[in-house]
Amino acid sequence: MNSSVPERAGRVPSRPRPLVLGLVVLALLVAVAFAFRTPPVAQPVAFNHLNHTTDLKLDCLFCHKFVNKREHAGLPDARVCGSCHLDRAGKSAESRRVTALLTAGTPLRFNKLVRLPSHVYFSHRRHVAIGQLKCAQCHGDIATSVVPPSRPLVQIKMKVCLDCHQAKSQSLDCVACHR
Amino acid sequence: MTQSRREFLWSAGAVGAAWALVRNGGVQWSASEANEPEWMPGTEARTNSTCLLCPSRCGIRGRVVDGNLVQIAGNPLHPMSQGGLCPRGIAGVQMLYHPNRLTTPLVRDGARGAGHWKAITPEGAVALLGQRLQALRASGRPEALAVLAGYCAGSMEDVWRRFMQAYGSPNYIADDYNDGTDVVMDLMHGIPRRPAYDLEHAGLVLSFGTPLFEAWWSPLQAYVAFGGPGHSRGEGRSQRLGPRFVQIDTRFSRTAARAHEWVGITPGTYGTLALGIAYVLIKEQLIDVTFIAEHVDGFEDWRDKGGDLQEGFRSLVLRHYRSEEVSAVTGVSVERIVSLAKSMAEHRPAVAVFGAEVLADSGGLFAGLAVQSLNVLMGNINRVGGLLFSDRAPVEPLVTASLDQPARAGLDVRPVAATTAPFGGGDPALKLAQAVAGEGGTSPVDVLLMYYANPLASSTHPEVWSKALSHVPFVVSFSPFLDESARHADLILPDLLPYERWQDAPAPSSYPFPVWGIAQPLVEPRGGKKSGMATGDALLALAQRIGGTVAKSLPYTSMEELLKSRARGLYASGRGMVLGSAFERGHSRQMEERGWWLPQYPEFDSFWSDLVDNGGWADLFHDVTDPARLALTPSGRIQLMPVRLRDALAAEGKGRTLYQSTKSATTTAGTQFPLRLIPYRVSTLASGTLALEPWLAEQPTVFPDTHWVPWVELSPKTAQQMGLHDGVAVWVISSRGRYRARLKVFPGAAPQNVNAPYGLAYPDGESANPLHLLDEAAEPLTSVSAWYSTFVRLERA
Amino acid sequence: MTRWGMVIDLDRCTGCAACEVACKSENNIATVSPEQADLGRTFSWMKVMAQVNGDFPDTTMRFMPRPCMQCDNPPCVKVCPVSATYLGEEGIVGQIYARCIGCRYCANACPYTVKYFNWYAPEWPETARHALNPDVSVRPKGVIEKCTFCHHRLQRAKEEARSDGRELQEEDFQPACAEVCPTTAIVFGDLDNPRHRVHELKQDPRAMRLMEELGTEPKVYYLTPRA
Repeated sequence: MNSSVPERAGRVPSRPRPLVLGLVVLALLVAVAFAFRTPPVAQPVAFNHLNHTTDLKLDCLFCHKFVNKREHAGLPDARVCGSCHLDRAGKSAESRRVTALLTAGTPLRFNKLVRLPSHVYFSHRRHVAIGQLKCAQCHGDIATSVVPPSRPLVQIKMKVCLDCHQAKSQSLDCVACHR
Repeated sequence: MTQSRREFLWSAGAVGAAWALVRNGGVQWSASEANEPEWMPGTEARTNSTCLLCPSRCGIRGRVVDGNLVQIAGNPLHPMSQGGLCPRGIAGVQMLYHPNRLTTPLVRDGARGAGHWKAITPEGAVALLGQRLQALRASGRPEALAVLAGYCAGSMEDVWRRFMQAYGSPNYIADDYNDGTDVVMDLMHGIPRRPAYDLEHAGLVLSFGTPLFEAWWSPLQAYVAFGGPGHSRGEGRSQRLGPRFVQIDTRFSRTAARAHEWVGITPGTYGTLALGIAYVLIKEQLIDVTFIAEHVDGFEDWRDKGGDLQEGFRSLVLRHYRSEEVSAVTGVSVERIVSLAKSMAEHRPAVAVFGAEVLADSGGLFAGLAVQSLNVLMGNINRVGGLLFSDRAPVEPLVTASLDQPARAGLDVRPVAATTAPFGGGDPALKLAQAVAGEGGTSPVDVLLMYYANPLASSTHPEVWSKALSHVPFVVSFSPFLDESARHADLILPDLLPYERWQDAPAPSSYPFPVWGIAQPLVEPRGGKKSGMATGDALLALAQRIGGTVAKSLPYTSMEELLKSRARGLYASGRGMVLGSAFERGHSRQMEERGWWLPQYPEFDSFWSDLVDNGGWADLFHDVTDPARLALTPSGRIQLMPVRLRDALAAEGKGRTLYQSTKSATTTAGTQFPLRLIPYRVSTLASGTLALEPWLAEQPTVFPDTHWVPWVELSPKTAQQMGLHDGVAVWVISSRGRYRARLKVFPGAAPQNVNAPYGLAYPDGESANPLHLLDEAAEPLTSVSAWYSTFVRLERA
Repeated sequence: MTRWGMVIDLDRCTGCAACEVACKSENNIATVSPEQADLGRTFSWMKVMAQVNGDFPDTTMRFMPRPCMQCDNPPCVKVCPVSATYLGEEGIVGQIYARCIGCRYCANACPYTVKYFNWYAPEWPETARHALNPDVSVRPKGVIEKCTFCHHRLQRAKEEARSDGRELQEEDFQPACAEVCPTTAIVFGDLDNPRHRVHELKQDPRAMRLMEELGTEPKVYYLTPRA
């Protein structure tokens, strides 16, 4: 054997063991699946839905102003939060932080949790105001959540839409929803 | 190709130097797969406004979603455009969001024209310019301030003129689009204004080369008239068509293609043909004898003060414009001439329309008078469906100017661009450039402000302008894009785009009734509220900064406030209406016809708020019984043989007589330059200062089928003779210069002409401007450049 | 039954191309490179065709705005292997981008050449993304696209009418091209509804459809020029 060959070259490369290979493949698959998962959604403040909907008995419409009027339900901006939090802070630390942020004039930009592909037409007005669906049907138990979830509580697939449309004898024409 | 596809697409048309900005990180590029949105979900509004991209001033309705202008559609309340719009207006969104758009003032950082800039705040820019102007005024030379202003929207011209007056400079120089018809109207009618045409109610529209459907004062006005009332929005199901359109043209334009009849004609002979038609009208007794007897001088022969017999219009035409002779000159057959005259008589009211295509030629003034004589002979003046002198909107004037001693002294100095032509304003921009470029080093202009003017691109003499700009110590541009001329500026204070600012937008001269459109901000300025400033607001701020009588003469805090104060004149006028539905328009007009007018609003504020919401004000009633709308000459009659022109010709002493020269106006081709150049404007393309929107650049015209690059049109026969085929690159060469273009073989081109669109440039900024090839010929009476007397040759590039 | 259709009066078309650009703005239609444009790969869901006849000075020209014909017997649907294109309930030929596999059979089958293939991903500069219409998805690379009669407007219009508790009116749903046409040459509505203008106009003696002999049953009618 040639002495100039570096030390490592002396080792006979071992055949990879099936278990290790399997683990590597699995890890790769998980990584790929994760990579293609929608990224988690973070919110500027840890909004407590339960507190607002149950304890304070606020209507969903108080913050999601366009539910009955437009496609988007609408997310609250600093003015909506400020209508209460500017005057009085709640008991929690997070609530005091909100008051501080609003007093400093920081804009609050909540992020959309449920995102539809752009080729889908979905209108809240149509489903809530006209179709009389409950929010929970698509959004699950969001109203009683304590911390903002980073992923939708209900996974909406096209099958969900179609099953419901079929059950309620609504249009199944593709262009009724695709665009 | 190092440049990526999208960079190429969007930089096209905005000039090359904008590149530096793009490359230096002025613009962030990112591929956008989809509009997977960060939409702040929710708000959406449709707001009425007015389009300012061409003189037509159509009503627009912007759709704004979450603060972004996503669409421009027509405003159905607008009395002329009625919800319709042209491609350019629609593509305005691409101008607003153009990556090469300047969103902040720039000050030169390095040598002039080197392309190095430093961004400053609008307040900083106003302060910089203010200091310069204060110093100039203090040195006792306020007249050394000059402004070169393109086609100003509404009050902007008043604000500029007022600013210059209070500052003390007579050098407000208009570089706008002037078709010369005001001179014709002045000579014949004593009314120095461009005429309006009531196309909608005409029986026949006889257009002498006017590109009604392409680049007229208001293509929408022509479209709406052409479409007629049928299938229209909410006005019944009538299928009645509009008037018959006849297009007399040197090229097969889109207007010619769509007109009901097209008459091909030899360039430079419009006047001859008009008089040839007049010959038939007179011979066949198809003229309006009563109208002529009551309102027209110079038709019959007359004796002057010395008792000599003078030849009147009738004798002159009958003697010199026999059909066979006219046919030989114009290339229009005798049968066609006769049939044109007959169809004028058949489809009354038949109105003759004309503009720069007739007047911007040697002999153009006579030709213009000849065409207008048809309107007079047919009794079309101030008649329904005829040619009118329409009112301007009765807005309140600006506050009275107060002038101090320096201002009065400055205003007494002779203007730099004073014209020497007997009639009309000539080409004042070129005069200015010559004055500045001429005197070895010491320029009579110390500070030059360019407002919607890009002389390096639009002038027929860019080389003079180039020299002139280098002589002026301080050059300021207000262009929202880094155009050719702005590149040579010391300071750029970019105007906001029409969707970001307040602006009044009165209808162009061609409308048969006054409209005072209003443009309002649909979105915030693109760079944010603080980064840009509308030029109107900048001027008002500048006046305040200079202070004294200048500030007193423009005491408004903003354009919005200024416009609101002007609207008080409309409110108090006792006429017209805030824009409304077709029904409301009809009602208002009928009431006014019967002498009624009812106030719609109890107080001004609600009037103003509705005016802004609906997009403006209009008065659809036009008084056709008012004799002051026929002629304001000393005799009160229309002069077919204008006295002032006869005197001027006599003084000229060259033996020229009225209407004579039109016949000999045509120049001929030589062996070196065998083809006549016919420059024309493509409707979808901006010229001069504005960047191209990709939608329009990709398909500038419906025909010929061409994309992105400048082109010229040649007839198949000529192309074959020259061995050129469709799509090859050619040099267009005249005695003055050359440019590169793609050849399009087009059966509608006359065999002896090259049709050359202008306003185009290559994506890398290379100029392709046929106006730069024009020979030095000009109409001697108006000193307007002759556009149609230049000959060129084509060589394969 | 609702059958959306269009009547285009060729006597009124001036070839101004406002319909083309309005369509591009409404439907987020991308611009292609000059090289691609010269290959005829520009996207024009609505395209004004110009046909020239004769040499100077006897030249004539005809303009013909050409959207998707929305055939009642669409040849493109028959060849689609994945049902990405199909005839909808109200007569609009749908094109479902998410289903499309980019085989381009439909583009070849269409006798009117109204189907366009995305050879590249559409691109906009960052600044110009603001001008995109949020109601219309941007098509990815590798799918076919075509005129949809602006059916996203129909989705909204129907909802608007239902929300107001009234029936859909003619003026509630107009595609961008018809809305903007300055001469009102483009008329749009329900061909089967006697209250809509198209119902009457399609029976006009001047009315004809393109390549009727193929049996495609287009729902776009043309009123042929009188002169």
